[in-house]
Amino acid sequence: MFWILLACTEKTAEVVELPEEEEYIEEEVAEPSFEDAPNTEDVVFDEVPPQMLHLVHSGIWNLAPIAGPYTTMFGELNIQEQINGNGIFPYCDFTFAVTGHEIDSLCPTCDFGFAIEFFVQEPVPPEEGEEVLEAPEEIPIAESIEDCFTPELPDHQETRVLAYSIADEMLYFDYFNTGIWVPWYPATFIHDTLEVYYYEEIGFYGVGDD
Amino acid sequence: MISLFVLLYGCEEKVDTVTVEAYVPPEDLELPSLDGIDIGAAFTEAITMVGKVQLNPAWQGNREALSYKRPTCPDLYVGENDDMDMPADAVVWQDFCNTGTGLSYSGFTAWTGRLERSGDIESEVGEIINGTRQMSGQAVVSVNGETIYEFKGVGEDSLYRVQSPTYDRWTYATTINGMIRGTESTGLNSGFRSDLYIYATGGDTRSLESRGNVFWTSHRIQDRFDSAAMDIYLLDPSSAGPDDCALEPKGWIGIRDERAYWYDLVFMPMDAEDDAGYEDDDRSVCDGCGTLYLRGTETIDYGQVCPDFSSIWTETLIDLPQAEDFIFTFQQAQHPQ
Repeated sequence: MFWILLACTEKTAEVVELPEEEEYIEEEVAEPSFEDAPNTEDVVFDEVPPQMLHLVHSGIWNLAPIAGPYTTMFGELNIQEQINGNGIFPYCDFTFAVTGHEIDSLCPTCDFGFAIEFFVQEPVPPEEGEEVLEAPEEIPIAESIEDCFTPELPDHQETRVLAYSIADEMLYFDYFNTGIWVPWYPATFIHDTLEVYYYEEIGFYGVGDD
Repeated sequence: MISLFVLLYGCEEKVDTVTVEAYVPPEDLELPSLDGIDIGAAFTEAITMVGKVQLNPAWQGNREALSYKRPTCPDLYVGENDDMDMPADAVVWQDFCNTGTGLSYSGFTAWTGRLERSGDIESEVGEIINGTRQMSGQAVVSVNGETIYEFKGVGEDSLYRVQSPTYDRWTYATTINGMIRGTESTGLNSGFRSDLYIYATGGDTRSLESRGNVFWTSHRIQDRFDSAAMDIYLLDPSSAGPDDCALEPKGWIGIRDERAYWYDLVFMPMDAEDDAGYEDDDRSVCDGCGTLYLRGTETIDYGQVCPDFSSIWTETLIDLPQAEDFIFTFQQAQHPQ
């Protein structure tokens, strides 16, 4: 009722003191032209991801017999994923034991190749007296290899066909046994070993709510 | 409450005036002329154009657009993103960036592909290909202001093919809800916007089933029609069985001219049981002809139209993806060769 009555009365203007006016400086403003679209193509800009994921896949693969032609291989492949470069508590840190035997069909530029079984190893228990750092609760840690975010990682006990090209210094993947070879890991061939080292720094959306 | 109303009413005088104008009946609709239009050929061309409305342009265009990428332009992403209606293992690029050479990326695309292949195409048993792809995007890639790739929407497709020296059979299904254009995807002036589902078979049995709508951004059928809508099933006469009608499709197809008039060509009912809309039995016979209507008016019947769809059954009716087309890995996207 009060508000309605108030609405019928004349409104008296309140006197408000304005702050002192600052000296006005006319800025040069470019008039927008609709005839010529603004040329932003020469300006370099690049939106930066709010979070980054660092992927580090590395390992030494031993080839046998010595000096080849190689018929078997064995070694390890460590898969590490670090959120925003946190290497102290990496989100994902698993090691595959890899063993392989020779295959017949290779990619066109490849020199040797193997059908390789990927076997996730149990984490090495800390030695007696070794200090173990506990990750704070707010830092997410992957519980299994399936939780890692690198696309198309091998599953535990999965067998994949990979072949190496000395010229390309690249391991190629026979994509799920389809006969289509795709580049997989850069690797260096030195003295009957392959040193695999794959590093990427990519945008990261987060681990989700679970 | 009544006292409030009285108070409010007392604040302001209000005078209502009502003007009654004499009713003027609308002018009779002047029917659009089809002079100079080969309407049968227009529907045939519409069908061949519909066969190109599939995921391939969006997929290949994305791949081509990324072949120009720089290390962080655009950025590839992994992780959980609830805003994208895509599987968790999808590969994503997302950015708003310019390489400084006139190339710019804006928005995102997410994609995932699967391929299974077994057997030997040279063997008697043959080879089996089973591939699926999904894509989602709100992306524009341009070079010096010219759009080379634009994909806004979602799409998916799947192919199952058995092929041997003496045998070939495939089924292909695709759905596109969105817009695709750009020189690296659909080619120059060949974009489209659609919500269309296609199911096609080929090899020993050729058929095409299509439901939905498509608008071509530049192409005009017979310089007049810019869109098509349909719920239609076509069967290659050479694949027809004894109980099939080899002469005409089932269902209907409409094309729209640039003045927004829709012309619907209605054939036999899709299913024998689903003939509620077919009151005239004469129009449900297998005679190779459909009845042409102007949509949105009271049964404006142009009469019978008998298009010849036999010319659509070519190898290029559907741009069938090859096995390689189902694979576009994270590494390939990150390090284009």
